[in-house]
Amino acid sequence: MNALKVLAEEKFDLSKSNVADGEKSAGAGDIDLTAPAEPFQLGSRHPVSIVIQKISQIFERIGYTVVEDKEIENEWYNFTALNTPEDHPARDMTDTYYLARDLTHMLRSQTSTVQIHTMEQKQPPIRIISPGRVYRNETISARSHCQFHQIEGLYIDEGVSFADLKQTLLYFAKEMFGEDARIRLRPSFFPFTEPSAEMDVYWGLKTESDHRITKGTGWLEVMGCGMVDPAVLDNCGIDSNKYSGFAFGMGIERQAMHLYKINDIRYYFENDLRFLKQFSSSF
Amino acid sequence: MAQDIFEQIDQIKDEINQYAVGSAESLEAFRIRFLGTKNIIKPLFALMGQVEAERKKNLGKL
Repeated sequence: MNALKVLAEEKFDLSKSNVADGEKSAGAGDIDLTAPAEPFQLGSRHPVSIVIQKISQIFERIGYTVVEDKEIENEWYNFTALNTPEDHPARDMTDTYYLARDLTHMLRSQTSTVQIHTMEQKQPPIRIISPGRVYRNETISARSHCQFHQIEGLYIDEGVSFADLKQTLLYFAKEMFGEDARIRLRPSFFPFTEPSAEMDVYWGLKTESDHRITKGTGWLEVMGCGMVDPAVLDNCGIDSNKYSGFAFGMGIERQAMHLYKINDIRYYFENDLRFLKQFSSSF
Repeated sequence: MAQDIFEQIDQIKDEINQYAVGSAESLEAFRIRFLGTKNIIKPLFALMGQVEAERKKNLGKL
């Protein structure tokens, strides 16, 4: 007898939904076809993607090709071929993420690895830029993160000099920061370039935030650069007596931080829609 | 006993299965007849006492 009750209840529930569906479709005839449609939710491009595209376009206009490559590399591509000494602290596990099951491979800590792959595969003239994600074992804070993006440029040909590098960087600064942009080069050191330099762009000291961003100097550090070390060319099978070249690289997040006045690098990776929606009108 | 309880159950079962529910009104009528406070299944429970002990077991399963 309980089964009888259950049978009646089941039939009632089924019929109820059928009747509801029937009413819904019967009501379909009343739809006003001329009414505007529900607004379609459009996504927006991530600020990092916007800046990568902006920088890529600047260099593509002067003949650079965008090249991307893998994110898991071995020691040769990430360090050795780039002239990084065996005892360099960057090779430590405290700085680089090695794969647990294979300690000869790691998450790349720089996009310079793409330069090596490219130089191994083709002979000069080479003119590439390579944007991509890199990983470093760093404490996550407002200023640094364990993953971030870099964009790296490489130009190899006969007779390339430091003057070419300087002019290319000036062109980039004017395109990126405006026609009045001024740059300066400070001596620096990277294992894979000799001589090496840091490029600064004049940002100004008009507001309090200008002071904070430029540490009171008015100059904003934008990228590292230099002439490719002949040892790196030789490592890749390129005749360093015949060819020379320059390389440069910069962090994307930092550029986007300046461009959009973002004060915390962690926002990029938190997927907070309130943050991401603000870029829907860009590009 | 006017009608055997087992026959009544079969009758109601058939009625439920064949009941055509096509509108909100007929759905409501169905609810009142089979699931309402004065539904037609309820009186059958009162008849359970009259069923012989050996048949009672089968009755519960229906």
